[in-house]
Amino acid sequence: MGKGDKDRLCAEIDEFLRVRKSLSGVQPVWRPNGRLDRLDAKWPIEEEGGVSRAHLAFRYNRVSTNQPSVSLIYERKKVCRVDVKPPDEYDGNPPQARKFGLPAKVYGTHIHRWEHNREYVLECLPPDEWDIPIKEEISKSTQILGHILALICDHCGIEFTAEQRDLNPPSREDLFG
Amino acid sequence: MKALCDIILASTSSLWACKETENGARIRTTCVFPSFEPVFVYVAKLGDGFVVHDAGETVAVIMANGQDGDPAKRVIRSECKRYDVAFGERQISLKIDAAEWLETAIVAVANTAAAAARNALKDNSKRAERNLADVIFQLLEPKLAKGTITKSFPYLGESGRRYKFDLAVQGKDHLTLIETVTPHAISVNSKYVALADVPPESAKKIVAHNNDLSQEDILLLQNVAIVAGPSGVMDLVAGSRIQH
Repeated sequence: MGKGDKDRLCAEIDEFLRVRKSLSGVQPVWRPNGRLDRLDAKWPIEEEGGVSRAHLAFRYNRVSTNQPSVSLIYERKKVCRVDVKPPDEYDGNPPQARKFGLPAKVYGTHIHRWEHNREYVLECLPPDEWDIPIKEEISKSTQILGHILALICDHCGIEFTAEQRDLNPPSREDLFG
Repeated sequence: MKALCDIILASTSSLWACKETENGARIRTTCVFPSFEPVFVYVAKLGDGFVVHDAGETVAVIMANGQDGDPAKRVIRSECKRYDVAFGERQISLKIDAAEWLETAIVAVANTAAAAARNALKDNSKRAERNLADVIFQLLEPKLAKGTITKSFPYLGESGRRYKFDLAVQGKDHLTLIETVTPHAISVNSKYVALADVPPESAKKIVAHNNDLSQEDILLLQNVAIVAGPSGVMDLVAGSRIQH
């Protein structure tokens, strides 16, 4: 991907975040992915006219099940992510986080917002790399799948129904099957 | 019995060791230069804050590997952007206002130094390989039938991987592939892999070097090709040892 392509993709993402869109269909199916202790699920996002260019990607750890994660993926690029973490564990922020008044160490559950990471993607990384490392701590009460789904949907302007919000974690059979 | 964490902590106590020097407090980080020497970073007080820097060691490492001038600076500047690190004439540095950012700054400067040295060396190694291939091409071309020697010759390896060999000489009924190698692990390893993927019955294989490879590298590459300096390559290809 060249610099021009990245510019265009970032502008497309800005537009995607503005337009009306919603979660598509019933709840996603959880599948084992690679490591035995990990389950993944994908939930398509539909824009007006039936266009679908993005999805939510969920990760659920079978062992430490208190640490689910959800990412908004647009054309295979991460745009936003919410990670649930124990309150005594921290992830570091890169130095660029200082301009947003964010701390060096972010304890517990956090969000990687597009508005914090857009310039990093575009100006700090080489054209062929993409990542969103800048993170911000969020409420410690955000712990379960339903909470992080509602948070990322609210943040990225994705509409969802009450039934969709009641996201079911993988069943015990899925976890230990 | 000792707990695993106790064993690990006891055997890695030199990591993150800190020593006061005239450049500031020197910290041994877990990052390494391509030679596997540790990256040290230095922390000095600056007003109420700190400056974390590499004391110019990254530039020194790159220079010691034969790279200099603008290409090296371009590589360093490109790596500095990733972690918001500054690059002056010779020094990689990051100023911070509070101790809260010290860990981040140390990690950022150390990773920038390691990545810049690795990329500068890669760039340098590739350019040296290209220069040697040009020299050998110019030496061989007048001595061979027109159109028989080619640069960047595409070849499908036995594994299915595609390669571009630096030079190829196509005779009536056989092919000679020539790879140029510089005395760096990146160059030796990548060329070894490419040549190992060519069955011996498909082509004659030659590694060309500037008479600067170590004995160990020569012995390694002899497992997959004939190893020769520029005059040896001339003798092998344009002389009587391989017919074209």
